[in-house]
Amino acid sequence: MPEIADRSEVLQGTLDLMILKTLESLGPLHGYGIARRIEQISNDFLYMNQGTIYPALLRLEQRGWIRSKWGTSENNRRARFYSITEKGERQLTAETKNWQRVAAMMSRLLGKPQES
Amino acid sequence: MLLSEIVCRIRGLFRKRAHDDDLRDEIETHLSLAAEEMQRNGVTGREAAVAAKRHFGNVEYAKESYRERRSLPVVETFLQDVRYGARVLRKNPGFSCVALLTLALGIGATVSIFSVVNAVLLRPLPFPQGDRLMEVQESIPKVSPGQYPVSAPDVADFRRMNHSFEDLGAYANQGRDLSGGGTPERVMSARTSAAIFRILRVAPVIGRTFTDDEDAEGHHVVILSYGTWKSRYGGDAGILGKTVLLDREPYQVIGVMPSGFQFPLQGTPFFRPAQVWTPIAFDQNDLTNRADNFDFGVIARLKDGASTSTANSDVQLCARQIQQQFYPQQFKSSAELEASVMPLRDLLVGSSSRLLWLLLGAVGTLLLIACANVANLLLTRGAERQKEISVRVALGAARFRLVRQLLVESTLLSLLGGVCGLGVALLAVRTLETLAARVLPRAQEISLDARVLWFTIGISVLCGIVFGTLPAIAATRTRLQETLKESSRGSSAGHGQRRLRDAFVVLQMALAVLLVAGSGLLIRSFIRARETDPGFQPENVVSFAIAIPNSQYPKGDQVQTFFSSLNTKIAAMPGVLSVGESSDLPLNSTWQHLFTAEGHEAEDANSLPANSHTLVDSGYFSTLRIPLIRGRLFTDVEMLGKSDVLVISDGMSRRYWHGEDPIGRRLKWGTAASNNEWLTIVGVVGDVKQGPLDSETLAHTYEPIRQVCNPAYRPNPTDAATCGYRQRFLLVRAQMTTASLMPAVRSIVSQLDPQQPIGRVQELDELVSASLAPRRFNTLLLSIFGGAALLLAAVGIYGLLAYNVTRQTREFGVRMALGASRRDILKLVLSKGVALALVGLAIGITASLGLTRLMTSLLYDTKTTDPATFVTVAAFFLGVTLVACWLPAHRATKVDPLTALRYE
Repeated sequence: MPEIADRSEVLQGTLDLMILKTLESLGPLHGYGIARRIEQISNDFLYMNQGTIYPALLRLEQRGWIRSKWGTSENNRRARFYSITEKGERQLTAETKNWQRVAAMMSRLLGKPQES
Repeated sequence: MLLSEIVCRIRGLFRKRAHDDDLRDEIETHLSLAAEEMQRNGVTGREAAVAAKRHFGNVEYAKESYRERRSLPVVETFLQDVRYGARVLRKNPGFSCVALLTLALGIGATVSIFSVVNAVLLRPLPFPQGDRLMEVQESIPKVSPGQYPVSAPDVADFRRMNHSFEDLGAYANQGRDLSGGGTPERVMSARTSAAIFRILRVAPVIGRTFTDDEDAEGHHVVILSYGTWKSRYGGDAGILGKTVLLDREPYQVIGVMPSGFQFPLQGTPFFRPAQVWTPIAFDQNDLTNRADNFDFGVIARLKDGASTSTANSDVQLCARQIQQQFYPQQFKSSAELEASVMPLRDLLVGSSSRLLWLLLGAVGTLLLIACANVANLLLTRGAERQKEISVRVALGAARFRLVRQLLVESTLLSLLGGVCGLGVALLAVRTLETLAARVLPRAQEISLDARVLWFTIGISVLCGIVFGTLPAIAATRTRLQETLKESSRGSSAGHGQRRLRDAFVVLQMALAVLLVAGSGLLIRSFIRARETDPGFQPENVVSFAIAIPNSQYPKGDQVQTFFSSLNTKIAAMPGVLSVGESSDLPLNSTWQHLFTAEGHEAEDANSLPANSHTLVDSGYFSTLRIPLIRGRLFTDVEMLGKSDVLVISDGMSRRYWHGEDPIGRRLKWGTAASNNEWLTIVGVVGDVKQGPLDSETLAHTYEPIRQVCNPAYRPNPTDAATCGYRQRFLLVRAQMTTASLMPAVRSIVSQLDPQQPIGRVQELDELVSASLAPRRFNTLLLSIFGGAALLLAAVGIYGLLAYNVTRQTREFGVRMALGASRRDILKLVLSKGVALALVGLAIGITASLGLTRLMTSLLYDTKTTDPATFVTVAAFFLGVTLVACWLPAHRATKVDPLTALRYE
């Protein structure tokens, strides 16, 4: 495992987007599955307290972007499986566009890191 | 926050246990999955579990932030506070009971009085859009002050000329005999324009109301009240079209008004609710006499867009035009006719609003005392809970959080108090309704409605905050270390808290003194009023009313024959001492004249003196035992016809003839130039209260009842044969009870005329007592409040001293061990209590001297600073306080020094 100093904390507000994207591409997943998937995608560069994913899931569910269903995990335990709703997909599309605009703007503003 | 989110969160407030279990399962699954994945990567079992947890982060923290998000944390902590508060209250039943009783008393009394205020002052009239209903009144200020009803011919003019009203109608009361089917009875009827029912927007339950055509003379139709229909006609569904007799003339029933419909409204000046309504039917006499007979009430409904003030100037303009166009020449310059409108509700409420606000103020003061009492209880308990609070502060509880929790506790307490108070009010309201029935308008509407309920909730929450705030702040202002170190129960409460408790007790005392002083003044006024000599001897006299109808007795001689034979037959009954007749009863006179005394002519018509007036027969004075002071009473000859004689009251003689002998002097009604005859004064009798017992004694005149031509039925005044007053009160002084007298009287009347009812049977004792009903009402209520205030203040100072004694047990033990006597201890405790009481008394008396001025109009023959009352109040107050202080002081002397010192 890389040193903690090399890792990045999850940016405020980006966790929601990552969860929605994960559920959109992989379908229903339990909390642990979502957390692992996000960590894997970032090649374990992204470090998160996995516990923080649960309040985030609750928030998304309260907004109607995801829904949940009880089922059984691969090790035969009671687990809640989350999936994205239509409303969530619309939100994901909008947020993605927004994110790309901001990212493009930021990289233009900052220029290439090695040149500074 | 989105709406859906709020809904989710509110749902999260419920089934917390199940939600928590779900979360626990979810996290456990997460951890086991993580651990298993690590094991697959070669980490051993125990380490895998630890690593999984580390990666997850703080489990409890995650759960906590999850919970916060799941529901509404503000609501949740609030509910937590409520649950905690309820537990605390349950655990201290003694404290809770005393506080609840105090609050129930305070809030209950306040809610009861508010329900009266609500019914009389706040609730709209029981008619659709009742606030648009106006009463039109006229006035000729140069002739007679004040506003009075309208002169008949002006009604049609107002109706035609005004621009402010949808419609306008007139009404007037008339007592009538209702017969035909069942025993004849005397009922109150009202002549009403057809427009009245349209204006009030009330439809009959069956049948119809009058048509505009029926406003004219000659339509014998009648509308019954629901009560009359039910009681007299058994709710006969076929009543419509049937004939009843009014003053023995046939009237056809055309409708029945709904239950609860009342008109004229109870409390309208000059008018009373009717049981039957007949058409207004102005006759030629009504319509020709301009500037006379201001006898008709007029109500109107404002048009959309019109206001009270525009209507006011409108009717004023109408009045001017009426005077210019129609008034006879002699009034055109001298008398200015004015008119005004007043919302019907204001007219009804009249002077009672002042009394009601005073009562509400008194009861609010009582509530404040109750609050101060509970605040002190809370302070005491706060001191006892000092340790609990200190521990919580030490563990990191924010002060704001603690204050909030204590406030929730006190509000919970006062809401419970409010519920108990509502119970008290529920019991009190029925009693109040009965008490107020003869005193306040709309008393029958007193009830606990939604507004009273909201008021109760509001006042309860307010009380909780008022009495909770200071104790909560005081309780949380703790010096941590000292309290936690403190091992003995004891002197930990700071100087500031002790001062606060003292201040609350002083406040209670001062407020209680204020209320007791107020009720003291009223009680003194009441006693004064009761001691007032009415000028006649009411004991053993019973009166009843008889009105014989024009249709049956058209001639004055017939009237006289009827009353003479009735009078003789009653006088001949065994046990009857004497019989008298009169047009009005003392204490209830309504008849007023302006007069000119010969030789003392007033400069102009505006400054004519006024007197009240009664028609009497020769037996009147002996029956009421009114003493003759000078001259003589009426002779039998004078009783038989017109002889132009007068008997006047002593006060009138002294006031207008200034010590000269008035016998043989003459006076006439109106100005010296009026057409009335001169009347010669033949006698002077003692003063009699003609208005209520607690009103000023008026100048009064008596005239032979036969001398006056009957104004009530307006026969042709030139026809002497129709003279004689048809509507008389008979007064019987007898040595037997009313119950045994009246059946005999009734049988004598029905022997003379089987169709003739008698009405208004009343013992004059009752009449005297009824004239004090308003005074009895406010004196009783204020005395109850004063008593309750005194009780609460006594409990307050008792509680304070008792608490002090408990805390100082050790100190007393030491003092006694060092040689202090029991007397010394008694003095020590008493002096503290008495010092507080004296401060409270001083403040209370000072405040009273300033505030009792507001009651001036309610007092009778008593100054607002009446020294005797204030001395009595102070002595009574100190007596009660001494008893309250003595109890704990006595207990302090029973301290056993050995036991006290072992407390350590």
